[in-house]
Amino acid sequence: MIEETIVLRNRLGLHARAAAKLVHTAAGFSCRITLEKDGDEVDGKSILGLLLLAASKGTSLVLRVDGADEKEALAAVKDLVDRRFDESE
Amino acid sequence: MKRALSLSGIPVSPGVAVGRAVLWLSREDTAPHRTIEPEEIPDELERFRRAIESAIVEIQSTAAQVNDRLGPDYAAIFHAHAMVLKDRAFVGPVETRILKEAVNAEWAVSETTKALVGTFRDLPDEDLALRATDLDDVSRVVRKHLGDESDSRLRMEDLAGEAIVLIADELTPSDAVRIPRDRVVGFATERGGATSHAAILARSFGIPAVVGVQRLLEAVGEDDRVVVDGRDGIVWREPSEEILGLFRDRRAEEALREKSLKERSVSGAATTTDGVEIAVGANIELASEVADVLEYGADGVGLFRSEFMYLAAGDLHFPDAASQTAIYADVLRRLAPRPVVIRTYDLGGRKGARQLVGADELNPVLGLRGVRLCLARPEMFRTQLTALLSAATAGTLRILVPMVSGVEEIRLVRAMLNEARSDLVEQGVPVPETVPLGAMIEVPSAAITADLLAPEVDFMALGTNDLIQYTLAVDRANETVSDLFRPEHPAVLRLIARVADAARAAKKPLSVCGEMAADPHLFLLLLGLGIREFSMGPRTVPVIKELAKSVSVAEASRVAKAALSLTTPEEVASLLALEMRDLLPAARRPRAVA
Repeated sequence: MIEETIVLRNRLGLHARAAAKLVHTAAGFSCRITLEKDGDEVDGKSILGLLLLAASKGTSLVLRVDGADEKEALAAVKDLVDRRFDESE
Repeated sequence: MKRALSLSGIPVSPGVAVGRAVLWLSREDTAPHRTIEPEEIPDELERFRRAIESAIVEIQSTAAQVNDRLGPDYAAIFHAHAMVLKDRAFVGPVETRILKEAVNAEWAVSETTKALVGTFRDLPDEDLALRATDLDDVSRVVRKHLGDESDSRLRMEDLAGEAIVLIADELTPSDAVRIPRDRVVGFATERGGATSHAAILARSFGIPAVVGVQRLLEAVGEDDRVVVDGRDGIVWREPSEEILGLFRDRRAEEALREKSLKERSVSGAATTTDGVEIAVGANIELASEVADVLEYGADGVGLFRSEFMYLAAGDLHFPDAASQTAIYADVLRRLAPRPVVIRTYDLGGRKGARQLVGADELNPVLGLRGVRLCLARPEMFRTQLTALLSAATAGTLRILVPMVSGVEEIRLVRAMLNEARSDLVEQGVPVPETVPLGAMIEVPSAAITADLLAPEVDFMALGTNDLIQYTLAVDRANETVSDLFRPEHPAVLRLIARVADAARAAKKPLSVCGEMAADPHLFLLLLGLGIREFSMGPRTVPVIKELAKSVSVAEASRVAKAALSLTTPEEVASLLALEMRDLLPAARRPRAVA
């Protein structure tokens, strides 16, 4: 299991489009992926879970990955967040 | 008459709308509620699962259509909806309810949605709290597929009257997509924020809108006269004559500005500063858009996407030849003598795939679509070709075939067209001697072998949206790679140049009818690469025509040549930005498309 803190840097935070991209990325890995904000931990493959985190810009989230492809999964999710979900603003 | 009242909210789409209030209320949750026998439970679960599957298909089909009409940003909302239906956090609770409470699926879906909506509404963040409308939307689709007909509201499409201002608590994406633009002049909602779906849509439609107007529904009643000020974010109920006067003046000013732009557009074809005539046509999907074509001064229709008439209905019932002929003839007649390019059905991919293709394709974008699907369904295709030919004498028709990948397809289509023509002639139906047949160049193989295709067709049309997608291997409806979709990529530039050269050598007309044509920076590039005919959404025609009149082909060619020597899309984009700034004084420089 690996865990790492990531910070949302895009303007709208974890809104519907961003959440959809995250789910899409996470679904490609077999390991368990979760994100935690203030004690609430949700499944990274569940769009509803992610939206319920209500994570806005600047929020720190703890990303946890556990399974065979955990290293790749961590890198992929981190990269997506660092790229600001490829949003233009 | 009620006294005048003003309410404030968030302005999300500029302009002034004056009209009559029509209340659009959220669906009341009256899902049928039955208890079921324990033996019925497995069947009920199965019924639910099947409804989920078909709901997902419908939502993805809507996403594909919306992507074509309004772009990937808006389509992304529907993709997110489909994801909700695949989420255990939604499906699980519904199944548990069916199992533990022994209730019917409609009720289980409705209750689960209510609970989730409640949780979302409690979120402190305004923007994220918006997503409750998405859940309602999704739930409604599933219930429809369960056969639940308790949505007793009038359909959006059936709203009667004119100059309607919609007054709602909120507008779901599905509602917003169906707003009849010829009757609704603006809207206001009690909920919603600047990033809500309704806001995005209002901006695309160009209709004034204000959201987040507290106590809106308390204050405004059905048929009240209402003014929506999309600039300052104010909604007026029964404004005084004085206030109304101020707004009418403002609206008149804005209309005058737009009118002069349109007048210059309508006054005739655009000619560059060095005397080259540029044709700027419009892309349309429905016969009702012919009015826009005329209003915005387009030089004709460069692309009529014929499949939309049927997709909008949701079920794919292809009308018989006579009904089709009537629609085509009407469009041709109203626009004559302007040319109208009608593209034969471009279905498959994600548009109506399942029903027509009859199987789940793993890669629908690379599957049985466009001309391939038509050739595999000759009855359907023959009917359309016959209808097109029957309508041809009403105006100036050109037939365009989508997704051509090689010469053989065009030869097969031409053979079918000739057969259809012979049959009509035999029956004594008047048909013109020749109707130009063209190929859409959107598959890389067609672009690369344009020199082989050009002699076999009467004209070609570059479908840049799909060409870019296939060339860069980027699914344009996939938000995770949407940033990789770059029209300025050297590969795309080279392919366009190649096609333009082939067209010129064979002396065949070539047009560009993808979104690229409407972007001022890219327009300059295309002009320089040799394109002389463009087609785009009607609203963008006047701006591009003005631009064409302000530049020279010589300058554009210089820019294109420089662009072709660059290595990355970013370099090309920077070059174009720089050149636009130099070529046009600030006052006449149109904004680049975001």
